[in-house]
Amino acid sequence: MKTYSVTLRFTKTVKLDVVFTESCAIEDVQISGDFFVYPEEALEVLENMLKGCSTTKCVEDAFSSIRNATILGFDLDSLRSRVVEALSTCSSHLPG
Amino acid sequence: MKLRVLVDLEGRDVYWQMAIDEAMLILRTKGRIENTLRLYRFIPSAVTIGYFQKVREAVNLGFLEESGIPFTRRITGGGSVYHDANGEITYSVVLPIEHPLTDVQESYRIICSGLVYALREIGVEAEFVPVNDVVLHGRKISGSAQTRKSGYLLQHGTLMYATDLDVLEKALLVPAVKLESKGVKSIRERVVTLRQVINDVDIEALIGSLVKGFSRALNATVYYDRLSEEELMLAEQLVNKYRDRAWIFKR
Repeated sequence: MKTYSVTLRFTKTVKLDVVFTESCAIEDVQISGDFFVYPEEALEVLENMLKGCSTTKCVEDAFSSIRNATILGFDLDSLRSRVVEALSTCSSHLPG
Repeated sequence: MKLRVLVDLEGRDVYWQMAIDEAMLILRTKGRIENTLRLYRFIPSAVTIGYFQKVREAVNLGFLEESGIPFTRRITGGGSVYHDANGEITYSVVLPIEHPLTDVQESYRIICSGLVYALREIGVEAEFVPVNDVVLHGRKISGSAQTRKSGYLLQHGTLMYATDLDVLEKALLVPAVKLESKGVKSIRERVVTLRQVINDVDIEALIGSLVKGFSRALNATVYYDRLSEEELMLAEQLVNKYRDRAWIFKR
């Protein structure tokens, strides 16, 4: 199982935990921390949309689902970049 | 506006307190209750975690279980909180999302200014620090969290007057990156209680100041009331959610 975890500090703290399939598609993702998202369900929609993603386009489409949400405590674009980074480095850099 | 005030200090457990807050929000959205401010206590002392937090990363589960401190997940975001039965007053407020509360960050500022006014009333110079804190000389004395539903908001938060900081420090886990960003080495350095800045905290006076402070912050005329049967009945339907391990451990 390939995994990626990073803790990011903005005004609030965000932890990104990603589990990849052997072919580097996102199998599971959790975005957790002490931030605020309105409506709260938007984050769960994002996590569900990210599952199965193996391309940058898929990640960007998933993040576009949360564009209308109000987020306090972290920067959505920075988080998106981390997910893209995780995906792009999966096959060569992550522990197997 | 008119603001219904519930001074509800007899104390209930964490599951009931969270269920009552949620019931108030639901009943406000249905027009079954008025705009309401509730002041309450957790008995026994308890921990709540934010909606998006992972339990195992937000609290010291071993310590909570050894100490018999109950804990649950809130419907609001934010961080983990230790609610000391003998050292914290909690507030909750349900309001319509109307000007000037439409912008989320501004609504935190306005509602939290109720706490700032209350503290100033008793001679303590506090200030609001975005996103959701009230601080004294840079140390947090109050944190708040808000959720929104169908045109109404619920915001609840703490006021630490004599919280046992030894227990708080053992109960809560704070990421190292958060402490570093605040320039402190431990959670204890980050927080303060009223008792650390004024010798004699008069709880009745503090309650009076809080009612006055929120009244001023919300430009409201207050009247006193008690929890209704309908609020308690709905809370009774919701309380098992907060006891459910699946809810608590959903992250």
